Amino acid sequence: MRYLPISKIPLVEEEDAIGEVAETFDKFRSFMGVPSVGAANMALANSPVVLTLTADLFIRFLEQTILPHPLLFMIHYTISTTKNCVCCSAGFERACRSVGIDEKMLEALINNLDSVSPERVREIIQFTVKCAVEPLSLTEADYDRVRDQGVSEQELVELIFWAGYAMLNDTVADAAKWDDQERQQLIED
Amino acid sequence: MNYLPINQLPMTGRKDATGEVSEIFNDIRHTMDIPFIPNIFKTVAGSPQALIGSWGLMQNVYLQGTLPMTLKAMILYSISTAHQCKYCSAVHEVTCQNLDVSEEILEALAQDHDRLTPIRVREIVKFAVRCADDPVNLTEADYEHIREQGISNEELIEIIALAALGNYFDTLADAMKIDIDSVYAEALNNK
Repeated sequence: MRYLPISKIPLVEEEDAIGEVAETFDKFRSFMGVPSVGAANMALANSPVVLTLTADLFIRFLEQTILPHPLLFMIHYTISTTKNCVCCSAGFERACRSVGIDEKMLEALINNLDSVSPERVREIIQFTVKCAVEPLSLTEADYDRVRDQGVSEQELVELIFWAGYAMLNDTVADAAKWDDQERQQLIED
Repeated sequence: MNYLPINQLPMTGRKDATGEVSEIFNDIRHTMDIPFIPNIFKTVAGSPQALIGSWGLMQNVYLQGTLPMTLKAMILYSISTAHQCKYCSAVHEVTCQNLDVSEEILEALAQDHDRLTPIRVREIVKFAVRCADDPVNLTEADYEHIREQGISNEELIEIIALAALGNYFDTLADAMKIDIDSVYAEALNNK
């Protein structure tokens, strides 16, 4: 049995998965085009309900959202780096690269949002990060500014949903201590 | 169609709902056994996909699982009061009241977790709030401490997911500036 290093949460290995967990692992590998579901999903599988929910939610939303995937990946990357979530930052940095986001943009997203272009992308990302990090301080003017970029009501709701979803992911990843999984050996006994 | 006052986001009422949104609205009323659609779901319905995702989270993390419903409601109330999310605080306070959580416990959940009893409940609530508020600084000792209360790995994952759910709904409610539903406002006024 392997465990996450700090939280000692056991991993449900892919070859040991059965039933609903095995189906969810298959779906995730197939949708993401990856050979392994990763330690995060293996840890979540301790609760099949939670694993199925998070994986299904992620896949279904990305399949049907009206927002472009590169924009969603950039938003999640920016929120996760702002929240210092090492695991989600790394995951969404890889996701950004996989859809062609270049180094200059990745750098701007974490160090200088004001230099992001085009303007529409900049305003959307700034709005969404504010939704995630300080939602209480959002004002009518913030909504006006993002609507001025031609953002529809449906897009607006999906952007706020995605900000909330990023908060959810960052919380789970940081609380379960997935951040060390790539730098430390998983514990085996 | 009604709109939220600050940001003019539309709220989809039951009469406006069609297709998948209408089906989910029916599911919400039936599953939660309530005669109305809470404002947060009416607003999120501006995107059917966001509604599906939000309701899916609520169903799987909050309405299912192994932890008792009362404990879940208490955890979510503590997290939303810690975040000063008025909408979620009101919803979870009324939910706690409906589950017979006493005024004394509600006050402890909002102001002083050390007053909570029994110890197991106190430690779970404190750990969950920490997961929501300061997850980066959780240590091995925090995990050992919570496991001393006899928490299984499945329960641990559920507690973490519940903390994340609290953050998710607080973010949505605060960002969208959702008005407290009149049903919840009246229940709190009649205390």
